[in-house]
Amino acid sequence: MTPIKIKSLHHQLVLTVASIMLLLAAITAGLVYFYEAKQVHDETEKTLSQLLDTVSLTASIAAYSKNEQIAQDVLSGLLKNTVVQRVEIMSDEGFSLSQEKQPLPIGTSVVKNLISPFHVSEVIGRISLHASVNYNREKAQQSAIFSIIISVSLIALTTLIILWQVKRHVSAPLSYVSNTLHAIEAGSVKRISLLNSHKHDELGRLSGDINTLLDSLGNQFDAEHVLREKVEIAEQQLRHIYNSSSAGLFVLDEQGDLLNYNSTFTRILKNTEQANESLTANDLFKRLLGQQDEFALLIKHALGSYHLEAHDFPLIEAGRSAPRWMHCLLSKMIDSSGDVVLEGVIFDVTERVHNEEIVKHEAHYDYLTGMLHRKPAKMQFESYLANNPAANACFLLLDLDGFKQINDQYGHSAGDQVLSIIAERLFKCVRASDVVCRLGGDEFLVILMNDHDVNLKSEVATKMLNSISQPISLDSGELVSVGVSIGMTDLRISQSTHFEALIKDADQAMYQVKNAGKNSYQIKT
Amino acid sequence: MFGLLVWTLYFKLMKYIILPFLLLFTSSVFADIVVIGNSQNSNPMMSARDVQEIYMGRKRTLANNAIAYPIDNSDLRKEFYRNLTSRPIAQINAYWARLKFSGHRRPPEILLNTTEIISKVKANKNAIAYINDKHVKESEVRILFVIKDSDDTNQN
Repeated sequence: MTPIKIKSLHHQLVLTVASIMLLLAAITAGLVYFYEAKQVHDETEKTLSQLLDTVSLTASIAAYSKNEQIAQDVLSGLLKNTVVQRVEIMSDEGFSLSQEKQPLPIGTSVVKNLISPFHVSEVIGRISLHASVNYNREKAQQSAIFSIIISVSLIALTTLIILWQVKRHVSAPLSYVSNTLHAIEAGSVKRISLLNSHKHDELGRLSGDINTLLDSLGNQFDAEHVLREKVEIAEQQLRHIYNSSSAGLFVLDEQGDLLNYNSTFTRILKNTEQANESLTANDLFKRLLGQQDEFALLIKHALGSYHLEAHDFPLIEAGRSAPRWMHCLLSKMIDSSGDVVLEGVIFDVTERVHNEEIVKHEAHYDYLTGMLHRKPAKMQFESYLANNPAANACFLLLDLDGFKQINDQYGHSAGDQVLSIIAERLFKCVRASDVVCRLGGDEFLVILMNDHDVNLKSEVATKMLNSISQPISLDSGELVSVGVSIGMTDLRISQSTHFEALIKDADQAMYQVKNAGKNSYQIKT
Repeated sequence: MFGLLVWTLYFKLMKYIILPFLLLFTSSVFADIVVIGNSQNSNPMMSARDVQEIYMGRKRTLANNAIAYPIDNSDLRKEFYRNLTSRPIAQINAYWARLKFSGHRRPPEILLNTTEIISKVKANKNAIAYINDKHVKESEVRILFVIKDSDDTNQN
């Protein structure tokens, strides 16, 4: 613990008590001086009055007989008294005399009328006595100083005894407890020990309580330490799982900003072709976000539901022809602080998507000719119709003439070769948007989408007849040739949009061609 | 202080106990005391205060500013001062003792008999004396003041 400079409790107490004591002493001194000054004044007045009483008869006689000599004797007699500073005597019909020691300011004065010795009611003069201020002051000071010394000594003695006792019984044990507690570090085994004399008072209870608190604190520390170790281990394990996961894990806030992610997340998002680019996870994530409106939609869906939302995204990157596919799972969670967050998992599914596409291709397309199978062709046609209800489409049903003979004569592989070449030639006769389908064997269906030109089907059919009838060079060196019979219809002619019905109509037209001598085309009538 | 106390006690004793007894037995023998002066003394009649002030030395002159010459009568001295000042003769003596000590004043001259007093008054124009009124002859002296022989003359 850092040593904190503290003011000693006892020193503070001593200072406070000493200040109060000094103040008390000063007040006492003032009061005593004031009282003493008044006392001395009264006393002086009394003394002067008594002195006057003593000489009053003689003074009266002097005044009555106007005898200055006697009056002077009285005055000098009075002046011998230490109290007396100045004396005056005055006869109404005669003299007025005065004597004084030194010319000093007068403090207390007493004046007395002189009565005629023979007429009690007759005032014949006045005598006055004056004491000096200094006399009064000195006397008052002496008394006051004496009183102050006594009172200050008493107060000081009492204070010292009290302070000593307080230090012995309270301050010293208290600072012992304080210092000991200050030196004890939380969780240590040190405890406060107190003298036996304080066992049963408040200090004893205080130190006992502190020890109990320290005990429980120590126990709590130990328990917490064990718990923290456990949590740390669990945390490390979780972190390891999080980081070493093959999935990219991340957390988004409600606005779709990236809060947290693991190392796999960046590894997945990073362009493998440009592995050295130093983009942060946020940049990479923004690229994903920026490119895909669908990602924003996914976030919206995830926020609106309590289910796991999933979507595949192609991540188009510069320097790569094919996109990389990301499978992303998002689910809404409420985190520990009550905020809504989105937890996400991202997988690189490029390979899977690639494989799926291969499978899908194999399912839809004829392996040999690259043409659509019947079912996908139907689906494409229906999908086209659903999207363009007013559109026209033309069905061309083709059946090869003379294929069977080649097959029988040169074998299946030669037949396959012929079919493959015919398919190539057919693709060249149509637009990319048109459907070319192998219905089976040597029978093909071509659907010309968006057929508005009345002459289009005839032109295409003529083109096909010319193209197909060209000689075919087999791998074995022989030159062979086949013909084709084409039956045609369209939606308007057949008054139907039904795939099978249209094929049937075209088939009828095709048979008419077959019956009429083959290698030609016929529109259904 | 002490003097005043003794004085007061003495005064009370005299006034309430001794004097009434004295008066009881002596009043019949006393006659009035008269203050006399030279027949040529043209001053007006004197008051009790005038007499007192001259006899006690407070005043030195008569009304015409002539220095007075008071004479004490040894026979009547006690009664005279008692009537005039209400003070016993011992205090009057003490009073004069103080004044004499200062050296400025002298108490009135004390004469022993009436004849001598009268002749002195007749001889001195400014003399003042007191005698029993039965000895007074109007042709020889002039009466300046009459002290009635009564307790009430000078009560205070």
